[in-house]
Amino acid sequence: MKPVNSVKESATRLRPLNEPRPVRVRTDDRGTPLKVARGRRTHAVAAERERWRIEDEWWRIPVSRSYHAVVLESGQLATLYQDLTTGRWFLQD
Amino acid sequence: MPEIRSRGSRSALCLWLPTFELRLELVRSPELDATSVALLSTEGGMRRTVWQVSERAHEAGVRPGQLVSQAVSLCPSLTLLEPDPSHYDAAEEAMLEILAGLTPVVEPAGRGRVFLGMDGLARLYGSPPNQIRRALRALFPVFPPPLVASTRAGFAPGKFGAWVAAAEAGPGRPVIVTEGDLADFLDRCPVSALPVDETMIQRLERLGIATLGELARLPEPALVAQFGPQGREARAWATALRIDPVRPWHRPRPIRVSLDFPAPVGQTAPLHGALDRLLERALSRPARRGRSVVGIRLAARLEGGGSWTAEQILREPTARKETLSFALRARIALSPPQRSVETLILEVFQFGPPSSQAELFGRGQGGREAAGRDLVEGEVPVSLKDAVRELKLRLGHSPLYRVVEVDPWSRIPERRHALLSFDP
Repeated sequence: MKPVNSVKESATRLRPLNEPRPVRVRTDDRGTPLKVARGRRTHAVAAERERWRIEDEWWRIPVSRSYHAVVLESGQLATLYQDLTTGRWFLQD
Repeated sequence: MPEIRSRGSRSALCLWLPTFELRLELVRSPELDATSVALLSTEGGMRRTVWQVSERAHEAGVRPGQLVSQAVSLCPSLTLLEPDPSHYDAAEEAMLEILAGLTPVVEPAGRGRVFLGMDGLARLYGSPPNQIRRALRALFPVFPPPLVASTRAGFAPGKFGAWVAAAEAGPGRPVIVTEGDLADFLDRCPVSALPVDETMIQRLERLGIATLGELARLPEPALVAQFGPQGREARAWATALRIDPVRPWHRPRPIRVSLDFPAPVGQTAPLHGALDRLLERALSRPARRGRSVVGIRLAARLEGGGSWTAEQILREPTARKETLSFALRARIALSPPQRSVETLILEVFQFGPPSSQAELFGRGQGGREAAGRDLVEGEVPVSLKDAVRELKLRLGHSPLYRVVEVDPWSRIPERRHALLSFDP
């Protein structure tokens, strides 16, 4: 029997899809990504197609991100963002 | 014709925890114990009222039913607490479960009040004072000692006598009324103890009838003329002629399913989606099969503490997901959660007979697709069910997931969709 202050049934947890994966990014002076490194592999960025900002949930844990849609040298498309509260970079599809 | 004796126990023990919900909150926040605290009513909306108040707040003039603005102006240091109905229900259930180990005749009478049938337990537990001690001691595994110490206990023949005795009792000071003393005991008790309409109590008090003794001395025809059948019942209780036995409480084990959101959800659409997923899971439980649903409850744990709940009793039993979803969506629209939802909980607590003809005939082995028919939306092919069963046997869990929409219009990509374990 559980004491009353620990009464809580176990719940099924929804597993988020498309969670951001940390990457290392080198940028130029304007903040445009030049190189993206994940694990041991490094990819050069051929072009930046688009960039946009997200500012949300200021009332909870603020979300402040600068997104960059880039084309890698291999021709692969990638979406990167920099978390503006921590400065860390992430890859997200 | 032989007399049919009503089942139940004549010896009744009433355990009562006044302001049960507020006391549970104080267990969670012991630092508030000696301060002015008020628990808010469960109804949302702009004009929130006070539901229960602590002794300090009562001394400052705060009363249940007051508007929050009134209460705060009377007591500026008042701490307001959001209600957490799911927590109170869980505590109530834990209490009933543990008391069922003491006596097989347990009858709940609202949160924080329970009747125990004690017939035939003297040999096991001893005299009534010992029986009360055993019952209170049984609560220690679920409630902390201060909460158990504040429990009122009344022992008497019948539920009404036991309830009045519990109301007369104090913390650590139970009241025991024997068969021979019941009428004398009730004689001096206030009419407000009667389980009748509030309007009847008010009328009795306006007529100057303050005690059950004064009521018992009135002729029955006069009471029936004034109050109808309630007048007769009230007199029977007041004169100790009516003894209601404690009846065993039968309740099928509810089906409870819940879903944790990766991030708190404030919009209605994701809640609707999650509700549908929960309904699918609850309806597919083996415990539900062959029964329809009559009573269903949707609860939520809210961001920053507190909970929300909505209950629906259906006029017609059903096992159709769409009907149940429609009814609960209407409840969400009427009284939405006050804050973002962290966990959504669905509980089927009342069941009915099979409601649809389709269920009576059942589907043959192989399912619709084997019979060359199309699957209806949401139906899982038998072949897939078999495959999942085999994988579960091999791995211990279902390795399959389904993609569900959580908040498809969210600006934050990882909030839009999620994986839900697929276990048909």
